[in-house]
Amino acid sequence: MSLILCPECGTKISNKATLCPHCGYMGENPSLPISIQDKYEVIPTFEYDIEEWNPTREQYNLMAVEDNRTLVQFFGKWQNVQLRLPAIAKVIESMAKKENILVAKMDSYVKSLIEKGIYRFTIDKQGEILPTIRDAEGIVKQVRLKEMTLTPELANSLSNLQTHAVMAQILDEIEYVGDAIRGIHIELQNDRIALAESTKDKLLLTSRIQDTRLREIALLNVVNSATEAKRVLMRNFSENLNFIVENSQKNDVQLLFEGKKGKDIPQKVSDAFQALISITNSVQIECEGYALLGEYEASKQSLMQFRAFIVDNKLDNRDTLLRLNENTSLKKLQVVDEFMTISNRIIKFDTNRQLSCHNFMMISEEKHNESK
Amino acid sequence: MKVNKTETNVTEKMCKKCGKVLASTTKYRYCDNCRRGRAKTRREALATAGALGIAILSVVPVVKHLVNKK
Repeated sequence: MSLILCPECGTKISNKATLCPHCGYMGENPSLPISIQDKYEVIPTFEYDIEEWNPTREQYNLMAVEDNRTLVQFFGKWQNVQLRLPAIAKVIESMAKKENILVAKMDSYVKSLIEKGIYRFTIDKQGEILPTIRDAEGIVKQVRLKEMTLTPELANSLSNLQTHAVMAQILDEIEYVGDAIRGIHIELQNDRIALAESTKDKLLLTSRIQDTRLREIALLNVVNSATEAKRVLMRNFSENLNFIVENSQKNDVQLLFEGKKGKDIPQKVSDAFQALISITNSVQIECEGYALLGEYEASKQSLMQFRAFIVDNKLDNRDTLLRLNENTSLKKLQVVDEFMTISNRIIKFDTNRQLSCHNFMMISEEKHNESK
Repeated sequence: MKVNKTETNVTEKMCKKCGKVLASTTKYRYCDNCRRGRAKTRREALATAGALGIAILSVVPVVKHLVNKK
């Protein structure tokens, strides 16, 4: 038995079938197989021309190091570790308990900074203490280390150098964790963008499926992926936009004492622009997918959701996007103008008009022409 | 303030430093990014001046004391 394509719907059916199980098509003589009596043509391969809006994307910037510094300063204070992480504090103390200990002579100011976690001793690769004290920037002081035999009084003392040395090692690990957290932030943003970009690839691959039934199932999956990507990015975009709007247009005095919020803004602007581009592309793919399934009402609904997103975030107002653009060192005026064209078209879209596949595709072509 | 006339003949405010187009409702002549950069420079200058001031204030009594001793 070989498979043929149904002349009506293009589904793969047996060459002995007298009736298509998918669309119910029968030949002129119902008792004879369809393959004998009908001359059929292989359904044409769909050629979709999904234009991706892809303005120049800039390199990702690393987040501010302030979060990391705060973390190090908090856990660098021995009292905080004892209070918040008692189990870890016990482990550190037990690690530091040795018969022979090292002591260093230092003034009370340096000692207080060590207790706060701002200064710490340098440790070599073997875990031995070096006679240098450093902060986040580098070495700040040289001290003389002296070996002493442990007495019960010294053992209980928190100024035990060994304890601080172990603390210093842990602080190094915390700094590494801080870097890893920044890496995770970038990866999360990449994941969100990749989710949106994958929908385009899925749609192009789906267009190569010849079996109508399988193609419809695949198209539904593509549309679902596009909706998911769109929603995730919309939420992320709205949060970033609110943060940027809240922290922009401050006066000079406020800017002078702004703190770490100001350092986060360029990263958030970059994320917001990337999200905006991917949201637009996801909406386009969602609409294309529904249109190809012949579900024009769902396409309209998708456009309506996009319109609600534009209105809620005041993206139909050029000033909102210009405000975003103002907060980055990169000039993204091209993205602003292109998005304004798209948002104007979406806002003016008449929901009552009959949406056919043809005029729907024309929207994409217009988008394409204007983006050029 | 620099202005830019677009095709639709609408005047746009532009940042005096980097030339970026500003929102029509903005109260400032510089974009937020340039203003933030300027605030950073001021903050650093203030910190340097403060440090210098403290250093001078702590040295002056010592110098005075030494001069009076002679």
